[in-house]
Amino acid sequence: MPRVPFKSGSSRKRQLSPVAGPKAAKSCRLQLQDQEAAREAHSRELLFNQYADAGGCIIKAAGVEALCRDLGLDPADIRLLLLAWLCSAGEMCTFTRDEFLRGCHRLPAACISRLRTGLDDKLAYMRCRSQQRDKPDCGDVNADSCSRETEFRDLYRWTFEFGLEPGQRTLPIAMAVDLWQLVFEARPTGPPAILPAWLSWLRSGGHGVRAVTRDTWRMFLAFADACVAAGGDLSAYDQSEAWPSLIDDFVEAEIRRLGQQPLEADDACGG
Amino acid sequence: MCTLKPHQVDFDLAWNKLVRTVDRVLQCEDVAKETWTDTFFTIYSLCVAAPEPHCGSLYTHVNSFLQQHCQAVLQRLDQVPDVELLAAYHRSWRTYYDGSSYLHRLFRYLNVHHVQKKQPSDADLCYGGMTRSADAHTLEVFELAMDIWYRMLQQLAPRLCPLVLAQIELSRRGVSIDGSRLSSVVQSFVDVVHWDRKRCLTFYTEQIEQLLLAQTAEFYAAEGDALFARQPVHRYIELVLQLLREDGERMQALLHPSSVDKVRQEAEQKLVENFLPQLNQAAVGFVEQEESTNLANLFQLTRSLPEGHKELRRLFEAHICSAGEQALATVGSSEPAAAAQEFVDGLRQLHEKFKAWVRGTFNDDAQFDRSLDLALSKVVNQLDAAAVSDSELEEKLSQCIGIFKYVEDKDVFQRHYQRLLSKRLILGVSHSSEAEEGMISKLKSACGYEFTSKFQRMFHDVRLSESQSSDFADAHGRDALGISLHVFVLTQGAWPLQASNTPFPRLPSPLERGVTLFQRYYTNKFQGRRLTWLHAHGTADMKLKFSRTYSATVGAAQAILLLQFNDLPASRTLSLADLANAVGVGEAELQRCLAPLIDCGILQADATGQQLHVNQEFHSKRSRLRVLPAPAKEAEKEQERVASQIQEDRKFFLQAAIVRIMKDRKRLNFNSLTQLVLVQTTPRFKPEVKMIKTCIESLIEKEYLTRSQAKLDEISYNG
Repeated sequence: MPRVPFKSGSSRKRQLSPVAGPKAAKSCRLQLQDQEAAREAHSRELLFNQYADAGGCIIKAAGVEALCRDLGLDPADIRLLLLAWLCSAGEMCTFTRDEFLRGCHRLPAACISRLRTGLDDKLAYMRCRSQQRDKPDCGDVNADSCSRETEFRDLYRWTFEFGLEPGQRTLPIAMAVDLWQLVFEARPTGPPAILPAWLSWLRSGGHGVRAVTRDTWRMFLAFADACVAAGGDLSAYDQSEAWPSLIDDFVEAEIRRLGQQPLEADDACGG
Repeated sequence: MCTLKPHQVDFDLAWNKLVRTVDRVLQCEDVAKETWTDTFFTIYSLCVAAPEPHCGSLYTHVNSFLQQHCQAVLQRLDQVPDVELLAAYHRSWRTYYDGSSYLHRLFRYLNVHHVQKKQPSDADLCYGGMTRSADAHTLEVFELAMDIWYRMLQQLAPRLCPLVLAQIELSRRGVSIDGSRLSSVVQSFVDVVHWDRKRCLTFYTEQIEQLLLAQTAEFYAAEGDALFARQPVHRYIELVLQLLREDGERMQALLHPSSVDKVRQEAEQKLVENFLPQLNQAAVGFVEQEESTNLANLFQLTRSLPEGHKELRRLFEAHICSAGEQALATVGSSEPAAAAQEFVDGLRQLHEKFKAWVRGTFNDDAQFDRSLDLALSKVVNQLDAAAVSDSELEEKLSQCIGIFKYVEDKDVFQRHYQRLLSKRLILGVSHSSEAEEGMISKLKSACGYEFTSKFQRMFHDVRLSESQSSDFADAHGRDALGISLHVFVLTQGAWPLQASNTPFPRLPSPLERGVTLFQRYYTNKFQGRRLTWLHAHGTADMKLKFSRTYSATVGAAQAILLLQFNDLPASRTLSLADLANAVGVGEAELQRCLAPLIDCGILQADATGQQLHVNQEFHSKRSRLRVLPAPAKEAEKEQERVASQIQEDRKFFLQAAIVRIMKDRKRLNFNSLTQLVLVQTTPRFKPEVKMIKTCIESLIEKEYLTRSQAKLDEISYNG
């Protein structure tokens, strides 16, 4: 099972405890003028409390697992990554109160079923390829897809930070591979054609690199776009340009591989 | 009658008197001095006549007089048959030309007071689009005469020019012609329009040059084909050189100077450029056989063609490379020190030989000089750098530091040099310190201060240590220790020694005492300095008493080993384990120390090899022995270590260069950054772009640099 985005199988020692909520909820209700909004906020608090740990101020691994179960989603589902992104979560397997409430507010959702539909909608919105094909003459489509692309870029950039262990600056290869696999599922244009080859090369370990830097993470998106622009043709790639050396090595290995096994070329590029 | 005052003059009367003299002057016939003066004065009085000067009509009359004259000349020449036309034309032209210049002087007053006043300024002529003409009375008399002849010549040219060309062709075929006459005829085409700066050569170019160029091309194309078919290539080259030289001289004599190069180009195109592939093919043979005369000829022949030398240069380079490979192929088979000597000598010979080629054959051509440099650096760098630098290359290099400039990886050289220098200094085996310092100053002038600063630091350390050791001995009394102790205090970082080499756990007592005392002495003298002892690098001079006394230089560990036997009764044996324990080193190291002692016979091992005893019958012819441990068997490891150190150094150097550049520029495109880094590093070594890239990436990772958000290939400095 992929390790992303939430490590499963961690301890389930702690029972869910829906206590310690009302007091905190009261403090949050303070100056809310609008009754409706206040009620919403209150139910979000309740939702949080449902999964929070004993201290009542954080959702930990066990809480996350329960949340997944209630949502009916695999912990490695893209929708959970979206949730973490909307919450601007700083760390895996953990939601602080502020993060969780922020995420629910953005969706917006105040109960578990709304949360699920909200995430489904968000994913459909992010992917959204079918709509575009249905209404090619709709004026908004371009602006819309542009803003979706911007949102995706934000998600992509954030995913790297999300994947980092506290205090680390680089992402271990295995984690990076899983995150790459996952994050592109939310891309309007779908995963880039070069992705499978890139990931299998990274998994093969022939590069002698243990971790992915922030720069490489960032540049891979540009590289994937450049590949699409070049029609999947790597021969035009110039090693003396500013690409990170990990990508240089990949292109070299890939060109060699394609040269050796011309039959697989279609698979690699068409994926 | 000689009054200068303007007065009335009858023009017709005066002109009739004048015209006879004018005619005689124009035909270069004798004119009496009085008649000349008289005529000159008549012209003056006409020009200043009262009430109206007759300048205008005088000019018109001169004009029509000259026209009639030329018309008459033309008619006369028309009657002359072709064979004599050139001679006849030449005669008339010379007379007319000289006559006109006299006439010009005769009419000086008219020129100055009538014509020059009307002349437009230079600026108008150049930029105002104005021209001077006879009708506007803006040509001085000589110019007028030339202009009129020009009109006449235009009618004559169709007959005249073919004759001129025929003469030139005859001359090319080896028939002798009247060169000065022909040259004068040709020159007349220039002279007649000479007064008009804008189109002074147009007439000549149209009428003669163009035809001549066409004729030249045709002539030499045929000539070239015929020659090439008949002669072998090297002979062809000689002949063509001669042909071109002769034709050049001929053209110089006959034509206007502006045409000479054009004609030469035309001829070269037909004779050389058309045959360039064949010539270059032949050049392969010339270069291989090293036929310098033929090469020199070929070089001369192709030098003025725009890309004529390219192939020849390429061949030259390739030849040097292969010669270099051959000469140096045998190097390395013999022992390293000799190999280094051979290598350097071989290179010097190569350089000398081909430098002589460049000087003699290729006329010191700068491009060929460059080719030589290129080829030699290729030769030097093709060879395995490690194989060369490992041996004692540097001593021989002092004779020919010139070759050093071809080495690209100067930092590799620096490392190896440092390693060997440190060995020489510590063991005191340098030939002379003057030679060492001389070499370093040479390196310094070749590579700069930074390159040799560590070397100089090393010398400094050694010198300081000497004085410190004697100070120390003075302070403690020379004999107090029972031994004389000499300590090298070396700056960490300047020496290629690893401080991690563990000191021996147990030193024999005299040494132990000395070391402690020195430590105290030194820390007293220099507060805050830390001494790390590298026992393994030490040597000891010992006296060995057998049937006679020997003095032996041994390594520190060996000294300890021998001292173990000192207090034992003869014939007592010690086991390897005992010895290892006494010195505190591993088994491999122990073997390395013991082997030379056993080999030279001081120690003897029993049958099992586990027990050792002193050989009481030890005997040697020499009284001074040198029994240092065998040089570390980990020579390969050492190589690797040096190589990895060099890689590390390069990384730091590159990162420092990148940061320096970025600090200065703040924002740079990736490619320009790479270029700048290359410029900074090339004097030391030639980094691969990939390495620069890795360094930039690691600096981005360390957040010294950032990639711009907008432009992915732009790097900026986080200052």
